[in-house]
Amino acid sequence: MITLKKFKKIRVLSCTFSTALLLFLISGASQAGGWLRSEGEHRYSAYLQSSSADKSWDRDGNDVNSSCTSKDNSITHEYEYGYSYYRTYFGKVSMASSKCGQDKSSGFGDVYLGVRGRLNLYKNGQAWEAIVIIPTGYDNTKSNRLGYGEPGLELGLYSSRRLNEKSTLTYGGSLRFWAGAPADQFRTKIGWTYKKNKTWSYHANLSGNFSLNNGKESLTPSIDGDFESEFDVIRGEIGLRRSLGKRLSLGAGLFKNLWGRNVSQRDGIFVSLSYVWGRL
Amino acid sequence: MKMMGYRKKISLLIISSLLSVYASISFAREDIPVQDMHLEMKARDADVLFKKEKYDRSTFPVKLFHEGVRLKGRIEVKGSFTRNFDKKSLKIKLDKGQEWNGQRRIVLNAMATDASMMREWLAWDLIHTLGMAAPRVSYTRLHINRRFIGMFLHIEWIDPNMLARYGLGSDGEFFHPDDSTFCGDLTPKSVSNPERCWFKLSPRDNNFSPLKELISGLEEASIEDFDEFLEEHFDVDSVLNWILVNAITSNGDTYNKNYFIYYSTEIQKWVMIPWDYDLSFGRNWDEYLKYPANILNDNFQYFYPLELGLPNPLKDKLLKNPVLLERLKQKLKGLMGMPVEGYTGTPVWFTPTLMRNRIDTLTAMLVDDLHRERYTIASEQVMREQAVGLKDYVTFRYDFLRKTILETSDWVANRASVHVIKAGDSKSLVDGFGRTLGAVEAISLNGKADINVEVESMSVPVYTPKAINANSCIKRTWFLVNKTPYSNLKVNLSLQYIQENSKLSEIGKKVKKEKALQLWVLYYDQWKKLASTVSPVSNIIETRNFDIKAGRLYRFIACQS
Repeated sequence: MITLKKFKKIRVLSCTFSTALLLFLISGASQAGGWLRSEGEHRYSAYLQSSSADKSWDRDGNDVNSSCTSKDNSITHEYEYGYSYYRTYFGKVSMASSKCGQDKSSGFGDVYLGVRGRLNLYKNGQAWEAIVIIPTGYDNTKSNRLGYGEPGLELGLYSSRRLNEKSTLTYGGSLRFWAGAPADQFRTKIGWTYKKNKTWSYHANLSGNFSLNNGKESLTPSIDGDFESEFDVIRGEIGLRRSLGKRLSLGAGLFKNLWGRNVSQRDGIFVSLSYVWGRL
Repeated sequence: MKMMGYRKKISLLIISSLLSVYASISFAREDIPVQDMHLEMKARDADVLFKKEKYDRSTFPVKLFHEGVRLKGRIEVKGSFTRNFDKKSLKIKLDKGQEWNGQRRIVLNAMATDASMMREWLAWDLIHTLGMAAPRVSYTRLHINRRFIGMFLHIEWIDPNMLARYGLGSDGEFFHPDDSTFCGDLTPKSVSNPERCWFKLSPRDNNFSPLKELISGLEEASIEDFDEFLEEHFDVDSVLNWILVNAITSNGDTYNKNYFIYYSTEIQKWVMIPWDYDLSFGRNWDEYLKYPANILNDNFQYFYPLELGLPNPLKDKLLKNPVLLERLKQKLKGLMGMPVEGYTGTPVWFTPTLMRNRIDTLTAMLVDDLHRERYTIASEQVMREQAVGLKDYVTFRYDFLRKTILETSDWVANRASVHVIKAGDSKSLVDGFGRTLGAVEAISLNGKADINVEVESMSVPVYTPKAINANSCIKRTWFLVNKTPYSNLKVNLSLQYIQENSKLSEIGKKVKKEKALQLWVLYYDQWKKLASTVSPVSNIIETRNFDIKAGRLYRFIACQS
């Protein structure tokens, strides 16, 4: 029998599980981290995501029914600039709205500011990355908060390999460190891109976020000492992209959480737009 | 009256011959200007510049030493197709307030698509000889951080300031077809969406109406009145010269790209400025092969008519207008050192003797630095083969133009005759369609000889030596006979075969190595292998000291053992 206390716990859990994933989705919503722009080249991209979940995985990876269907929508704006042949600077910010029953949150999430550099002087696609995460003024005490409210630092290495004339494999990983309470994370991604022709390409990605389980204390609201910042998730994504000339491309796809711990079982769709200008 | 006309013709012939002789002597002694350019960059940047991925468009800081001063700017790789090569073409843009020889932008072509490294220079030399408004061009030895990188071709940046130097003003309307869309062919369709087919270089606005107006006029102008239309709207010589340069160099890679068109407010006429001649002088695009083989291949051609290249109303209507065509022909005759009707002032430039001298001088100059090139395009052997091919092209093209355009032909294919008078006579065997079947050079002879050659073309030899598979032969048989009774001679004999593109080629499917081809002659009923050499660029197989007996028919084939 579900008591009121248990019901509240389930609802809060549902919301916080979705927070974890929202953070994961937002920070992952962009192209592979191994690519540098040509010097003087600019790129703007926008990703619109919509997802929902009515189930979660608990700390032990067991299915848990949610008391409400959590619905998340976000739009992420990203800008990259080729400062030089050796350095690309980039930044991104998301506007998100999260709803689960009566609980709602909306507004700006964290701002990400980063720099990418080459690991291979002659070949693109092999790079290191350093990102600073800056919280904006969202309320981080809400159960479906838009971020942890703590600054973070992420360091990553990425690479890509051409399998044949049309296929490329990209892979990489990063460590994300948080100030304050949230547990640090290991993040990884492997992706396959198939370029059918000059106009169409398809991709399939597997990305993962694994907690280092070193969260210092429970984030509020506290739920029986659960550290909801300690979550693991593996997400699958498939998508396609259409080039409209040299500068503009449009994309769309589907994603789904395939496995997780302390996170919602979410699936959703995305559409994206990318525009390049400068040196072409 | 007849006597007067005859004397006038003789005078003109003498004048033309003297001009030709003078030109050949003066060029052979002329130094080809070469300049040195010294750049300074970070060592890492200098290395990355040539080795980075071809699509990357990054620039790097650079300093250019000039008259004791370090000029600052940025350097980048330029071009599209040429980015595929290790030796990259470069562009330097100097910072504001700094100039090198009056220019902020400096272009250095690597010449990577041309193993001879001569085609562009020769084309620009012709363009300048004709007095066209054209960029300055010079060979440049490039050094970076005191290290010799290679020989490049500096081509002056084309902008209104360059045009002002020719008295055309710098405030005109300046357009250039977009080379990546292949639609800048001066048709109304090309201006239906002008930004797709054209760049407006100056003034920097989106006003394409001057070009649209011109194209509308071109469309409406009739062929009969096209000479009047051209006089009213164009610097006519610039148009004639453009077509002439393309005809002489066999450049078909134009008329929808690779040119500039400028409306000069000074002369109130449109002026044509040619561009990009690295794939000329015998090179041939192959529509049956995939990129990049469609551009870089062993094809060779010299027999395309004046109309070669894609349709373009300016070219097409000009060539159909009798007045303009006659004017073009007279200019061509002048360039080729042939007698012209009236003195046109066209300098002699395109004769086999003049061109061979130019090519030999260029070869000697370029070979010196070839072994020091940091990113080698081709070995010395390959370069020399290309130079030989160039010389052959010139001879073949000269004969083709003379036979099919400037003289009366019998239009009989695959048959040619020459009359050999004395030792040392060197005669080309050219058929009625201007195609060179071969050549004879008399070493010794006991009297005049009439040599006839006929070919069976585009078919495997009917008869071959026993051990030879007909598919490992050139798909051509040459028949030679000396028709003069009692006349015997010894000759150096060269025979030509066709490799126009991958569908029109006489190279047998089992010929793996063209240089391994050998000439065979049917001698009574015996096949005899002849010591022979092959020029793979111009598709010639040659044998030396071959005896030709009077009245005897010789059957030649070329096969790989």
